[in-house]
Amino acid sequence: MLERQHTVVTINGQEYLADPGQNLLDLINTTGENVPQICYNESLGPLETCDTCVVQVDGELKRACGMKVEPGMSVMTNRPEVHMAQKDALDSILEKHELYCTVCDYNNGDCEIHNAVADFGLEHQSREFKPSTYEVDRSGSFYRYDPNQCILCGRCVEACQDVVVNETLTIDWDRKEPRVIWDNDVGIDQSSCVNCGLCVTACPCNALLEKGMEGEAGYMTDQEPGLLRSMIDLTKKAEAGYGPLFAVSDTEAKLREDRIKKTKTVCTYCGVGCSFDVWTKDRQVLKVEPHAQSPANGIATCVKGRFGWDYVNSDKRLTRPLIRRGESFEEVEWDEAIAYVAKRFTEIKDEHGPEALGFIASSKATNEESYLMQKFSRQVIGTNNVDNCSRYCQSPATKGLFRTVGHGGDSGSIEDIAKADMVITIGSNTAESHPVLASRIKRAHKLNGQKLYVFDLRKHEMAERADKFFQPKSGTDLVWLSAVTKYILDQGWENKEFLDEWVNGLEEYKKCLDKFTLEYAEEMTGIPQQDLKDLAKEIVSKDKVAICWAMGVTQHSLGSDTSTTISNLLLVTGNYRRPGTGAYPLRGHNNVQGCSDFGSMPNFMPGYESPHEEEVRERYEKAWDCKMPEDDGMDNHEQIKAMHEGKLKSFYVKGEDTSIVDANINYVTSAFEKLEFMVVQDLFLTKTAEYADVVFPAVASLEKDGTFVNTERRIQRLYKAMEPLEGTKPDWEIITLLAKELGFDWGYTHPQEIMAEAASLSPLFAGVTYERLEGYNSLQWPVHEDGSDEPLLYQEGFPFDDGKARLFPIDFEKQYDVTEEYDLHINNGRLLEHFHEGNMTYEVPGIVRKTPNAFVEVSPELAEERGLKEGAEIKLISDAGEATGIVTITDRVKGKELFIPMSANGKSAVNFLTDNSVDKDTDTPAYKEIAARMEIVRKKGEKSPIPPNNHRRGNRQPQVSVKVEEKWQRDDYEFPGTKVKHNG
Amino acid sequence: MAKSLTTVKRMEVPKEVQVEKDVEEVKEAISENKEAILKGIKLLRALDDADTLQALTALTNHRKDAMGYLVKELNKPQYAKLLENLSGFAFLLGDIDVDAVRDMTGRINRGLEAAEQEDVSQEKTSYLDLAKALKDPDINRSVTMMLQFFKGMGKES
Repeated sequence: MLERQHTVVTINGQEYLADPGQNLLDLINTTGENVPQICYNESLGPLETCDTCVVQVDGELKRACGMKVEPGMSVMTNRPEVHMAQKDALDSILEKHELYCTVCDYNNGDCEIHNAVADFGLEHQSREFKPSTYEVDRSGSFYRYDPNQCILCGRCVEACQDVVVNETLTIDWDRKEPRVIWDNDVGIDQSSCVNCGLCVTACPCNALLEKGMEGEAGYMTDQEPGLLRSMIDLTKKAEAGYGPLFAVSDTEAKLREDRIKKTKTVCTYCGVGCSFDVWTKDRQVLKVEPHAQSPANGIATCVKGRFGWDYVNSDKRLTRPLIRRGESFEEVEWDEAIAYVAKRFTEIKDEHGPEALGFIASSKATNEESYLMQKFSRQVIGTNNVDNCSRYCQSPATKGLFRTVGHGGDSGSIEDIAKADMVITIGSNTAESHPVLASRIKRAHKLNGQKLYVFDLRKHEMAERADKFFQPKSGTDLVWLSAVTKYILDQGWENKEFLDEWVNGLEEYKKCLDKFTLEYAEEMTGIPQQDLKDLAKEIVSKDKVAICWAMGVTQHSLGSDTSTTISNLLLVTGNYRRPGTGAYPLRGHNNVQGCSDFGSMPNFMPGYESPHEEEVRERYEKAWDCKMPEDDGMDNHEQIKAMHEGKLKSFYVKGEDTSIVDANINYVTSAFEKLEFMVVQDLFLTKTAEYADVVFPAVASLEKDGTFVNTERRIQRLYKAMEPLEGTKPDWEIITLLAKELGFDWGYTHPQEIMAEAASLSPLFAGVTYERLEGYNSLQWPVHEDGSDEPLLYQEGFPFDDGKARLFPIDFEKQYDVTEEYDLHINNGRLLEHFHEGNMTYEVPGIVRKTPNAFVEVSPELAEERGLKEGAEIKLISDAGEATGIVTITDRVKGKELFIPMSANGKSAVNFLTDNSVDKDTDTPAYKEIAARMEIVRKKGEKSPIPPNNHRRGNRQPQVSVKVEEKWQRDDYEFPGTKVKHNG
Repeated sequence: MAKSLTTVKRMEVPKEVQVEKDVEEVKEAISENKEAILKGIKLLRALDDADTLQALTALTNHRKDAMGYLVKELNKPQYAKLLENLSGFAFLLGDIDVDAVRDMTGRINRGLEAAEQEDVSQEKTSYLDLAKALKDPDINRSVTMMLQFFKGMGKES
């Protein structure tokens, strides 16, 4: 161990030990000295815009936040001139910001201006508040900007430019009255703003405020604008001096705590797993506030997590169980529905055996609910026919990792991706599908020199930002990956030490690489040989390489093999077991990882133990007092097939709109029609529910307790923010009721008890308890009995008998291509603002007004060739079916490749086109392999499917930070320290 | 052969059943909070007796109007002084030496008591009586104190 270096700094005559290079303000904050600091926020770093943290350093007045500690530095924070300079800075802020706290919606105890002025003890301001000539901008969907309250601290700009790296906000320091501007000075609504809301969280006051808070947070803030103005004037008159003003407003802030509930929850959208406090007033969501201690996301989240909660109170929610009777559903009481389902399950099991029943858990539901679904299937019914939607996306990645390194999850944390010297993304539209994780890459790339290589069919945002962007032919990633690996081995550039110590099977693996010459790779992928050589050189020259991949890899017929190849490359180059390295299959749903982790899989028990192993079965048989089924059950895909074959008679699906998200919709729905009995559990009467015999009304994530596992294998708790909508029940309660009706009285009263049971049975989660997951605490599995976890996997070796990883040989044979008849390749994926099929986000008016419907992206070349104009309507026809859509012409796609967002529903749904081809190893549908032909319905349309206020039409303004130097150069600016010196 | 369905027959809950369910819920709440509710009734009765209940109801119904009038009125120039004084008084109270005031008030009270006990029909007080009275230590203390007070009051601050 190196001895830790220290720097000695004297503060007010007392010596302190600082870390070398530590920020001076950070050090002062550990000493208990009170120095105001309005523009400073640890999550953002020093901005030096507000001048309030002036202290005396070696006799000179300086901004503490702009200094790094140096040996022997002497700092005074309590001298009169320091106080005068700080007061001057605060006065300048109060010239721009009117304190009317009692009638301000931001008066919730966390206003940093309020708190700084109060702590400083400022009683009166010496310079009058001067409003600007600007109007409030309330053009956007979700937040508004009030230039008359804005102090130009630039925290929003830093957040937008360097934290989420959306690069929309800047401060125009050149104009007479500087202000924050959007793009090149357009309204919020017209800009490139993606409504991630981070600027609002970063804002220290009410200049940027969620519209959901306006007139809702305070007791006296819901007034007509004119009256509010009068009340502001009155407040200021009656509360002369800041002392009384703060006394009254602090009291009012305390009163607000009575009616505003702040609950920690975990986002229910993608696999990043953002956690935050949701502020509610009864059932109304006021705002979402992430915290610096939110482990996966810090203070960031995206538009869906921040503002996408309207679906919770949608009037389309189901509020009673439904039973199919004749030509319609009938609402019934819970008792009746539960008894009916139990009776039908029993009848079908008695007549056809347990294998005639199938169960699908939801990757949107909690771990506890996944655990209960598989327990129900295995214990109550007696079949392993239980699966979840990871079959549609992630199983191939899991398979590839199991083959090579032994754990089916990300090798490290999001932090490690940010730390890597080089990030390669393959088949991942990261900026739209995993926005917060993408921000970490964008930041590292923009500020820290991280190299970014992107492989994708589409030129999406990450591709535009990349150092190198490659567009290999669809489905050929395996080839270039193998060719690069082979080239590295041929050159002798492999990490020999790592391979010797940690990896088996090198010689055999080398043999399989014979065919993957650079010539072959160029022919198959279209990537020139020289580029592949350069790439190989780049990879081996970097100390830490992380590879992220997503559905562009897995949803192919060679999805598992390609995932395997990625892991092989990482092993050969020694990019495992160290911070900043590893394999990162980016999980798509909030709990797609956890749903599989907790056993809703036909071939795995909780914690990926095999039901074939006697010891495993015995453990569960003892705990559950039942006979465990031994054979693998049917996966999702096989279950649909078995419906067609008449083998599967009953189907119970929870929180999954199978008939939209499964490939080949026509085939799936016709399978449902052949079932004897079908049960669906959901918030809405989904497309899938329309085929059900019984529909149970479930609850939203905000209405229940439980845990999710994010893409980092991180287990996080969500707390109930509001009571379930009347008439609805959480999934775990519904399944528990069914089990009881069928003679298995589990007796759970809280998800905590379910987790305790799962942890006691599955070694992977041995140390998981609700206490250890309290609040923002989290655990990354495997979690050992003593509660220690593994943020970075494989530290102690790989989970195989000899602790060594395995190179796994693969082969390649191209199985899919466009044909003469079906000459177009149809790609599909997520949009940032609509999640998946869109059944939640289409309930959010603020999103819908900017992105009302899906579209079909067509390349300029193809549009020219077919004579299509923006807004044209086309029909796409594949072997499996047809879909129609409205055209937008964009160079995000090229040649004969088209893109349809997954949020397309109705006639545009992409899964009308997909067929039954699957990944050969996991049965994951090859969603990304669609060949189709085009028929033109209308050559041009009246308008583009992308409205003028969509962020894709915006105009980003990249810069680093807030450019405070431009402020300092203004004629009307003088540093408070200089002023104090001049005035003596 | 289950075809896709989108029609839902809503459950018609008869009004009596719903009412009964609601009443049951309320009854339970009452039973759980018996003490508080009884006290609440007392409070309501007191408010009603004083006619305050009606006034409060009306004020709540018209709170926005009321707030509007109040704020509009208070924002008029003639109240500016009043509002300033409100907080001014608050500061003034902070400056007053309460112990001294209490002592002084005690003395004034004793003086008033003594004055009341005095027989009003007594003859007029002559100069000589006044001079004699100065010899009385109580009176002398009073006069000295008054003289000191006059001196302090006249001082230019």
